[in-house]
Amino acid sequence: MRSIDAFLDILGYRASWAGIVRIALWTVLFLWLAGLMIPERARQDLFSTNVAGLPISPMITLESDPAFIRDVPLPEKGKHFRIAWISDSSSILYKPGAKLIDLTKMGDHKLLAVKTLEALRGLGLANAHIDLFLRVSLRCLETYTLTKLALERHPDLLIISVSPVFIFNNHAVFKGDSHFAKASAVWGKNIDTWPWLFLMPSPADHLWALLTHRFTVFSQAPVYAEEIDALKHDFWTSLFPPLKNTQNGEKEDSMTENSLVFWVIQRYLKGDLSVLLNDKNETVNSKWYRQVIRLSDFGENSFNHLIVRKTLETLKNSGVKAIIYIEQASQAMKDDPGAWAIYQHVKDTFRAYEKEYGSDKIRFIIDVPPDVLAKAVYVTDDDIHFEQEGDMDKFLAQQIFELSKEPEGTKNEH
Amino acid sequence: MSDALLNLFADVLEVDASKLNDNTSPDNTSQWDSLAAMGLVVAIEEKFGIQLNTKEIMKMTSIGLARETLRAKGVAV
Amino acid sequence: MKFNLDYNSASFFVDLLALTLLIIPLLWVFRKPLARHILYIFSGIYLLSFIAPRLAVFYLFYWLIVSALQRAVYITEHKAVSQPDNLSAAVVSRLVFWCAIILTLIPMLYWKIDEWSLVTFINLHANDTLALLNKTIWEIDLTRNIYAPIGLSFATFRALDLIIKTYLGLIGKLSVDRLLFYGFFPPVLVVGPIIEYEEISDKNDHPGVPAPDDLLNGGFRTAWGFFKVLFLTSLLQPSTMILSHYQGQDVLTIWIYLFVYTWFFYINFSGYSDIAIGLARLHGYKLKENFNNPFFARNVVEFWSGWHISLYRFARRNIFVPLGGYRKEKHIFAIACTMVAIALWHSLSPSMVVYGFYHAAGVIANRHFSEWRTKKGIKLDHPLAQALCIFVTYLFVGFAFPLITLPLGTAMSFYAALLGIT
Repeated sequence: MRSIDAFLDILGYRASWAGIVRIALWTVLFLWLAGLMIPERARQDLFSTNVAGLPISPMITLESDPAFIRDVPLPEKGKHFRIAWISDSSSILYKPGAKLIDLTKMGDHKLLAVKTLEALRGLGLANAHIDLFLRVSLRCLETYTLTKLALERHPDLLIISVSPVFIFNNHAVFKGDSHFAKASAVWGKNIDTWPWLFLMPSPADHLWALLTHRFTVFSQAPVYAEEIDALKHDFWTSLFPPLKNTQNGEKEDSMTENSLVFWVIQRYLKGDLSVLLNDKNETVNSKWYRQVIRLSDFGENSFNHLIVRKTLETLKNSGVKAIIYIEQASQAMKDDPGAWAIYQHVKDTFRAYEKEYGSDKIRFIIDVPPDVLAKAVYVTDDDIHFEQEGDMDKFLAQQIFELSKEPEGTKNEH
Repeated sequence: MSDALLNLFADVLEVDASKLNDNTSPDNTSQWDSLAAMGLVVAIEEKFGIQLNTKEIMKMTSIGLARETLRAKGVAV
Repeated sequence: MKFNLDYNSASFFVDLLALTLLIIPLLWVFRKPLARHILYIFSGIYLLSFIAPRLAVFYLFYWLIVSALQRAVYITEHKAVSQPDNLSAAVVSRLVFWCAIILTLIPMLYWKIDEWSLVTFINLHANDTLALLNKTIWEIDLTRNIYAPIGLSFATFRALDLIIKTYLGLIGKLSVDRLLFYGFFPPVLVVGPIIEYEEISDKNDHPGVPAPDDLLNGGFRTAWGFFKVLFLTSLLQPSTMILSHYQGQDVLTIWIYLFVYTWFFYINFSGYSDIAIGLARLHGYKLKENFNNPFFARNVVEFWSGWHISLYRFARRNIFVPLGGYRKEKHIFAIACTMVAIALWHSLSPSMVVYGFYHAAGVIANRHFSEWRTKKGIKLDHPLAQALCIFVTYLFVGFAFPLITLPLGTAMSFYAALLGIT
């Protein structure tokens, strides 16, 4: 390939500006034509088995798809009461003994949204439909992006669940590799989020976003990714003998998103892991979260504060009814008074927000009556995730039901 | 061709002197490998009756730089 | 707790490609060298900060130190040359030169000797430094992965080459913008090639803007590189499994996988070089080649002048020659040291020591063989003889590939399996 110069010399081709422009035009034409030849397919999601047959649409695409959300037809307004529900793993009801982050087995678990929908029907709101924006390890910035995306579909009501561990965590304002934290297409629409375009999405993210929105070849690429991998696999096995399944040496588990773990262990625990471990030297979820919540930054000029404010402003300006609820930590967190105090501080901060942004249309759920969680069962050694939600579904349904009765308003005056 | 240095390089590298100039370097002349370079050092030292030190040899990464180095040592090339 | 420090260089190059589309038109605005240098320095820093801002901080710190060292070497060497009779000036010049070499090498050596401790040190302290500069950037940095100092081996050798050339009087005193431009020249930041300063200096009447043929060639070259790195290598990727799954496989299977693995490795590495060279060309810079059909080399020496050429050239200029490689009595010693140094540049591990000596033995054997051949008047011009040479060289070179990635013990057990010894 080093001889491109020589090769072009042989052809007698001389590069010219007109030639460069021609090549560029041909490329665009080719990409467009290639897009016409690809049958468009629906994007996959993680939760279709959980919501089969129910008026719930999982909205989020699989990892790293710059299209962000699946192309789901809007249910007719008026006929349905449309709820958009933004939440992280805390609204998954885990099967006992399951691994929390095993995304391949989502069908094993239940969803709080499903239970709440059933409870809503019990209350007589039979036409509820949920756009489910559910993604594990959602951070502050991703919540903002999802709020923007959810509002583009003009729901009747928006529910945002807030993780007390992460909402003010200034060591994890967003997840490093999350594409919702590189949402140039979303942030570009508002002048006040333009500075983010230079900070979080890299030049390649902009390029992908642009190509995804302009060319079918690119927008369909993530949909076909699995199939292409299978073709590559077939290519390999057709040529070469398969390997017998042996493994020499132990296979080590390693983290891909390693930064938060690094800061906690190397900076705050000075390399001393024992704080996070049980007698069997396994990492204990609750101990981990209690360390992580300590990284909360309540300063008014923290990035988290800025983003939470933007999220609330966006809600207020949209005029859409909203419920913002703090995920309720287990009482077991009191074993660590330091962590518990910070949890209370998170709640206090939201009480201040409630004063500023709360209205008859924007409802904050900061505490729940004790009996709501009396029958709740948390995952073993975990302060955040449920196995059984107690009466949380009924409680949320009641709140939604009450808000649904509020008169439809115009945009909040600002 | 009366350039003594070019002729010396041409002899050692077994390349026609007309193909050499001050920009000739190991990067653009495949004959100038480390074996040939060894021969070059010996040939230069013998022909001009001088002793080259490591720094001077390191500097001679092209014929032009070899010329410059030799001139600095008082050799008229 | 095992941290995964792997970084996929492809994402850096896609970023650079996207940024290139923006930079190229800007080059017509930034015609003055200073403006252009600043544009590239910012681009390099900006791109590095998408790996992690702390990495950009680290490199800024590193290259500013190199800049100071370069000046010191230039000033003292200049004084020593202009005052040939001043013995103390010569001593000072040497002393400063050696201090500069050692200081430039320290981070890389520290990394190769104790990776985790350097990784912890750099990540913590560079992040702390960011906290002093800007809170939001510090908060963004906290979300970025923890990495080893990506590209440091390449940066170190670029810096060393600069300092050595300054000491030899081949490069004058560089202004900070010129030096940082060399330090942050985006195409070569993460996986080389180890360019020399002359390749990007302004001296050859560089017009500052690319010509149509630069765009055409650079564009094709970049596309070819991406095709290799993203498509071809992904087809051959399963071959890498053999390094962890060789036990209990048929001998023939291991050989086949090893064969494909060597091509995977070559296509991957040379693909990145194609992208780097292609992208540089898009900006109007002609970098030297980094590969030249190494697997069709007829002997080991030819292999090394076709494999990672920029490293080989660096080693020849700065290790082989100063060790007396051009003196008959030290020739063999210099070859051995150079090959071991090339090997250890990859990592300071026992398997790379073996790798270095293995290749040194190959080069020395080749020297003796060609001397013997010349003496006996044996010619290898027949196509079959040539083909045999290529095959034997490939076999020799490919056999050592597992040493590059496997620890010595595992490599030995791999070779046992490869040779059917159970």
